Amino acid sequence: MSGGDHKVSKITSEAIFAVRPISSTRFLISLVFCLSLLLIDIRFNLSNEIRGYAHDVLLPLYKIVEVPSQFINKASEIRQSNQQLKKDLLSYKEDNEKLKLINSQLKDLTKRNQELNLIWNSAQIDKEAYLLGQKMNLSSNPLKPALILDVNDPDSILEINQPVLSKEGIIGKVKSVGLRSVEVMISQDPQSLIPVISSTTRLHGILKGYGLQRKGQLINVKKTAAFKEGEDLYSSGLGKVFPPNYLVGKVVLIEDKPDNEFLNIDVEFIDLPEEQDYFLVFTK
Amino acid sequence: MNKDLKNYLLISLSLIFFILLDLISFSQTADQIKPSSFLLGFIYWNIALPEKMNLYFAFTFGLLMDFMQGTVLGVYPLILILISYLSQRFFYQFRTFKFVQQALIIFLIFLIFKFFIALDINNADPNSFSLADKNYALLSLIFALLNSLVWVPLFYVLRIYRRKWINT
Repeated sequence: MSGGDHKVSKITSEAIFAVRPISSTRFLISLVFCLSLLLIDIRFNLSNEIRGYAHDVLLPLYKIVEVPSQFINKASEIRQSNQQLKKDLLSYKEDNEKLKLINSQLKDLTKRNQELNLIWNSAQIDKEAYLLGQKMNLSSNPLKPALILDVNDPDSILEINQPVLSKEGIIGKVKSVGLRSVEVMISQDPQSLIPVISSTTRLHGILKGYGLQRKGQLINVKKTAAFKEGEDLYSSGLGKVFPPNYLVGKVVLIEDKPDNEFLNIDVEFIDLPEEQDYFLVFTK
Repeated sequence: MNKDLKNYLLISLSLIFFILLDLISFSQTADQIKPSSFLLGFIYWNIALPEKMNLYFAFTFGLLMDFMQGTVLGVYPLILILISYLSQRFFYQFRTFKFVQQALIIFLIFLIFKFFIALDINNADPNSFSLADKNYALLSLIFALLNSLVWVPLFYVLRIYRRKWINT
């Protein structure tokens, strides 16, 4: 038998032009290798060290994918008439004035709230505490949602476990850091746990994710706890990973099941804004 | 350029193109059911040119997918190696099947694939072996169905590409 491109018949010595499939030995070795890789990664979280750098390498691919949508956006922008733009400008000006007024009221409110030590500590006003990250990719696997951000800031101090915020509130934390890319574990991830406090009853709990577009749950809540349906949940700051007083979700269902020793509390996370391209990484 | 190297490059190029295609994002639900052209393309090359597709392909592209999808390192290489082995082991039989039969097998492969990646490898939920729920199962069925429907047109497109550019 020849070890070349084809087999040779033992009887007639003629070539058998059959394609050899992958040999079983090679297949088994590869299988064992992959399983070992898998086990090592589960045990030591090895990939978190390199994922960020891998995304740095993959950044051009993410950018290429953005090209068609950017082109479509540009084309639709051009199509908009000048008149429409003027109209928009006028309405934006009006909105801006309104926002200025609201903002001044909010400033006043914030001051008062700070005095009461209820919400918003001074860190939130510190602009340097935030880094802007541009969305590059969101994995399509709902049970392992990973958001890739491009944080192109040479002075940035990016670290694992830094919270990531959208305009509404907390959406996750940094899982892996590269030179300019970060991979974010979204709050809906089944491995994500966020310490929270309820807005009206001021009760503490731990919010666990169950995947994208799925409700989260407050875990290990005693049956005597008096959570209310409809109340908002804010980060409590316990565990010192997430800063306190950021919106995380809303209690939508409370069930007291007889076969469960804890309360079953379903929570709707704040939406992961699909159209939002920029997120904030909280660095302090 | 060396003929083999050229062929490898052309196959890789087509797979990278499919990865880019898969990366295009729509709504969250659409992303879950949109066909995986990369996996379909990978299966096609394993069936059409098994002698050109070795395990290095499966491993390299698998790692790439792991990084992109955020899965535990080794999950996609494992899936691609399994697909590669099965495709190459049974490609003689598969090639002679009618398209309906081929689509049915693609349907099963993608359904198994979806449930495999839903396994709770990290033990995020100690009470369950899998993270899949009813909604996930339903979307997986639609995903598998769409992939089996896309298989036939993709097969023809890749066949044209192969006959035009790849000299074996």
